[in-house]
Amino acid sequence: MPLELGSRWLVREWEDGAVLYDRKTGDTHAIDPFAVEFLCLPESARYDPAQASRMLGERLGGEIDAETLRSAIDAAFEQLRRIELL
Amino acid sequence: MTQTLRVGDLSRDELRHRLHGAGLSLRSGPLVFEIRSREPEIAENLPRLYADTPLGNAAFADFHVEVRRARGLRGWLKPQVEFLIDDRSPFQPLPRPQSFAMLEWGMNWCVANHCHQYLVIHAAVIERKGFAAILPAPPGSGKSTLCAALIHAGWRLCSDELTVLDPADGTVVALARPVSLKNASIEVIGAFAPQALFGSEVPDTKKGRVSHLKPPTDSVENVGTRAKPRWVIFPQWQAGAALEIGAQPKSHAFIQLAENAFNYSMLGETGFELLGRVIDASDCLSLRYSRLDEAIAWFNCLADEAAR
Amino acid sequence: MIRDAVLPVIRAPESALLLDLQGWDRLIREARASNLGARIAEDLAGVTTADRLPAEVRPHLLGARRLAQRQQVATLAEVERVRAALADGGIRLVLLKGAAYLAAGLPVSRGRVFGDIDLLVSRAQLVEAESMLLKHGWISTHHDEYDQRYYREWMHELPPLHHVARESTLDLHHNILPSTARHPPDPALLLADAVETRAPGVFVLAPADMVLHSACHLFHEGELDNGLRDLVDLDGLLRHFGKDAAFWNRLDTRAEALHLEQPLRYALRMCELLLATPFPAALLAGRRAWPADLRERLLEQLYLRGLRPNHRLAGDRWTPPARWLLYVRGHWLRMPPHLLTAHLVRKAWRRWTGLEFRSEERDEAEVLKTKPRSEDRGLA
Repeated sequence: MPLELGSRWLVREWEDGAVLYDRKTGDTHAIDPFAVEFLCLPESARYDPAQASRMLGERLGGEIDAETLRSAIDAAFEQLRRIELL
Repeated sequence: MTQTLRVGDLSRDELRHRLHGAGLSLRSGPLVFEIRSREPEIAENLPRLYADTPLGNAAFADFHVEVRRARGLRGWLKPQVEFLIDDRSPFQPLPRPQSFAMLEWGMNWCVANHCHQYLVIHAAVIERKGFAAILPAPPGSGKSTLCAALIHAGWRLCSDELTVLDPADGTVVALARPVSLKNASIEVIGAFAPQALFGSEVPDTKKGRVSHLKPPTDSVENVGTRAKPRWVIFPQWQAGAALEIGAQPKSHAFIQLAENAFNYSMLGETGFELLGRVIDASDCLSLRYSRLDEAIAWFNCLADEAAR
Repeated sequence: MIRDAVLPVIRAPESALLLDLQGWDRLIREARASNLGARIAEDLAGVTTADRLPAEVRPHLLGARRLAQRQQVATLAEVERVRAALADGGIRLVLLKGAAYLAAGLPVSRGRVFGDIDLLVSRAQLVEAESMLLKHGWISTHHDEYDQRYYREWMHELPPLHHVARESTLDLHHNILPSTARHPPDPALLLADAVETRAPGVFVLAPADMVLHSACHLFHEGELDNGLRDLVDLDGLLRHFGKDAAFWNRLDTRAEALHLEQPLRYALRMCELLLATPFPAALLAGRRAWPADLRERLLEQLYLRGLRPNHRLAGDRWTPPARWLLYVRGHWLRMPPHLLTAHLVRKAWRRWTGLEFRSEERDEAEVLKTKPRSEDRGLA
């Protein structure tokens, strides 16, 4: 079932990846599941790496070290910015 | 109950009269084409390859198409024909001997560009036991040969080029038009299915030698039956290769279908939902093969398992 | 009798419900040729339900609406990107024509189909604007030297700019009429009065200017494939802005200031004749009653044919010569006479040898090639 993220994005997820539809531009993108988690964060957290780190760290459980998490967040942000989702 | 007339029921004279005059109207699934042309290749191949195809309604056609001699200076040097949809020519003219092939390509273009009530994907689609296998594939993958063989081995032809999906219920809409084959495929299928009927062979097209195969009668007669997508299969023919099946990530298959669709962006959110449903319902697989009989056996296994 | 399946349905959408299948067949084809398919589909959606329409017809209307809706979303997104690109150079975005109607949320943008995005900048800012757009991924088309000169020297616009990755086309104007026109309107006046839409930083022409631009564009244009559509635009603009009584005075004064009284006159007359557009009678009859002379009588007859669907089934036997005369007139208005013949001969030669259209036609071998569009694709 498609997941609605706010009123702007529709997401369909499978084990190995996800696709996203952006209502604002009509574009469709392939994104990885981590980026989907990132988009689920409240808007303030998306632009605040420290907050994002904290919230995602909680969601994923304590198994991921801060550095890996942080670089994953930076990569996701960059990816999403490039395709104009952020 | 009056029987629907088919193209094959018309006399040669009547066929020619319509082609030269008001137009020959025929149905391809839910679509009606009205065709006009004075080209002999077309008068020759239409009754052969569309023999089972029902005639359409003279009052209304979805597409009014024509293949005629191209005008202008180039036409004097080497005779050429152009394809017109309602008097507009969407692409370059071709040498006259290719006039029937041009009609086929033109009709494909009409469906690919002017059917936004559906999602139209550049892929072959065939059906067995109510389930549809969608085969997106770039040229050179062997998709057309595989498709042509399968439809003579128990599978119904929905289309060899255009997978048409209905957003209303996610089903496959069949068109059952002639199958386009080129070069060695022509001989391969000729040997595989000796009873199959071919149209005239055209040399020297950009794709090489081209010929069209008549759709099997039962495919045309059952064109109105919808099929449920069950497999998305990416075939790749490779000389000498053993049969090898791989699982394709669903998100990857989704993007492949979207990229191979002609009008995906036109359908916006509807297209996104539709492809999501199709991918959800389908096993997404890659197939590497060299022997047609092995590939066909595997396909038939798939259908048997699904029906259980 | 001038055959036209589209105009009666534009004037009274419910009349389509009386059509038989053959009538629908004609309507759909002529509407497609005039780019009014989506407009008619939207109008019908407003007066009836799908089940009252023949099953054969429904997919065509649905398809037309989908196309228009998709273009609207894409155009709005593109407008924002253009605004950002120009803002990079400190240049204000002033939209013209269809994109402007859409950005301003005007009723006439309902069912409207979009091609290029047209914008207006001052001549002084032209080079900077072009360079900003090039920097953000748009490239020039029309590499033929002759075409480049035609556009840059004589026309009021640059050769269209195409975006490298997306498919949008931009037409950059520095005036609304070519510099060779007898009294070119002063673009500084238009820019000075531009109004901001609800989208910050996106400007359109003031109402009177919008109407005058539409009128002068239509009645200087020689290729009238979109003639009926443009007239329908005019009618829509006049009906919408005309609700404000002060608008008509403004229109009159402004036409004088911009030396566009003549196109306005033709626009009012043809709108009245074909679409029964309401406007104060004095606006047309005020200075001189219509038709003032033989020329106006002739032009009326020409436009009565030219502003119809350009389709085999439409028109009458005077339509082909009328279209040709309007075509020549369009060029005559745009070019100095000594250049006109050379230009027409060259165009005719290219058409005859197949060069003219072929560059825009697709190669049939690529007919079924789907273009992977970066906007649809996953991340590279």
